[in-house]
Amino acid sequence: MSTPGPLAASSDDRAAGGPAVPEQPPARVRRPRPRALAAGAAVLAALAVGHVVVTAFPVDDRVQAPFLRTTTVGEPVDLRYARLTVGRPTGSTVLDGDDGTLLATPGVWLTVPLTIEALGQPRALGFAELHGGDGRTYTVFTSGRSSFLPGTTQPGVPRYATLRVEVPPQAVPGARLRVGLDLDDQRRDDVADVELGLTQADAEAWAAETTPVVAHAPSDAPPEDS
Amino acid sequence: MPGPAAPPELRARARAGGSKVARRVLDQPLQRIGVLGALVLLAATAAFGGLEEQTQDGPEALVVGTPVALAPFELTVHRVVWTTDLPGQHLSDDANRWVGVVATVRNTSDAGLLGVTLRDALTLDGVDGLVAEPSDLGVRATSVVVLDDGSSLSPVQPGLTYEAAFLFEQDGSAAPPTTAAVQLQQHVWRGGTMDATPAWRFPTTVLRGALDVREAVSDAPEEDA
Repeated sequence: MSTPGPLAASSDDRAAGGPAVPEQPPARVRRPRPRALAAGAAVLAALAVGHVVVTAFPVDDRVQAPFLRTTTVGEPVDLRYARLTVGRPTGSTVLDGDDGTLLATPGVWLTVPLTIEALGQPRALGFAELHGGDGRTYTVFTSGRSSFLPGTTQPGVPRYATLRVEVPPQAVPGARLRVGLDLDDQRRDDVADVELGLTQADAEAWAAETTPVVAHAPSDAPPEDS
Repeated sequence: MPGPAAPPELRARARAGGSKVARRVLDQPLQRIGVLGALVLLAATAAFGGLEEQTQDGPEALVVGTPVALAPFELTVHRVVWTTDLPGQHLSDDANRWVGVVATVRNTSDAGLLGVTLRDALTLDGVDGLVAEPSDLGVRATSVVVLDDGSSLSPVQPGLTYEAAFLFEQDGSAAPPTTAAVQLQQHVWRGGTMDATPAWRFPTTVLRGALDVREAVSDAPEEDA
């Protein structure tokens, strides 16, 4: 049989003449001990110091930055996943997409031939972007007007592809091309950083050029006019 | 006037502790503490622009032919037309038609942007029978094409000015529109809730205008000036 606890007692019990309930002393508020306070303060201080270190010394970008492998036109560069050779860029105000379409541009079309040799296993390169000499970044997607989609490269079988991108003429001199494996994520991975060797004269010549420049479809055979 | 909010034991401890500040705070009535707390909270929002004057109650009026800066684009809306035949563009049903908003597009940021961001920047409202499902911003374009060659405008590169048409497919059973509400949206550069990577996000309607719609007088929208 259980004994009623203190919560079972009510004012009715006392009114009925039950046993007198001894008066309880007022509840004492427990003071936190100094050691507990010190431990809490230490935790807060550690969090504050960590926040200051992370914000004052932003190392995340450097830790996650891609490994840029610099090269120039015609010089092969070895990446973790492929050997890449970038050919001489050409340009015009009209692009022949090698699919029956001609594309105009308010700027200039820049085409860059690439030779990809996969290392170890089949690779499908998907990332490229152009860093213009004007300081802007020009997106190269896997589809659309400015695009780079070489397809899968098998080891031992060089793949020939042409990257195309439209830019304003002022972006041409000093432009650099970056090419990598993953379209969405280049963190802590090799990325080729190619100095294209372009000048103001190239920009002016291409801005006046109306003969279409051809962006060849990707192939395991080199383009006929290369 | 109501008494102090703090219990007597706590007030007694404050008095015993000798802290004048604690004693005065604990002697305040709850109502006063609440008012003071609200004022402190309101003042704290000033650091984030909470006390700045509200300058705009809703979308401003869209004016045809006037360039508008809508980060990350500058858009100039020229006209709205409809047509049943647009070379290079394919309707989902031959009986349908295109409603096209002809505009000049410039990417004013420092990096190229994909067409999906551009499609969020201009939407239509108030047109019956549009095939695309409306969102909270209105109806997005089925595609955005470059007038010169009919190609899909993506990526939109910075520093270039494109003459483009935002194309909306309308069901052929609906009457051709005579007016359409064109809405322009502005994005902000910031991280998202689930993805902290900064990007152009959260399009918000900042301009809206009811524009006349007429039939295109030629096959290509760029030729019906």
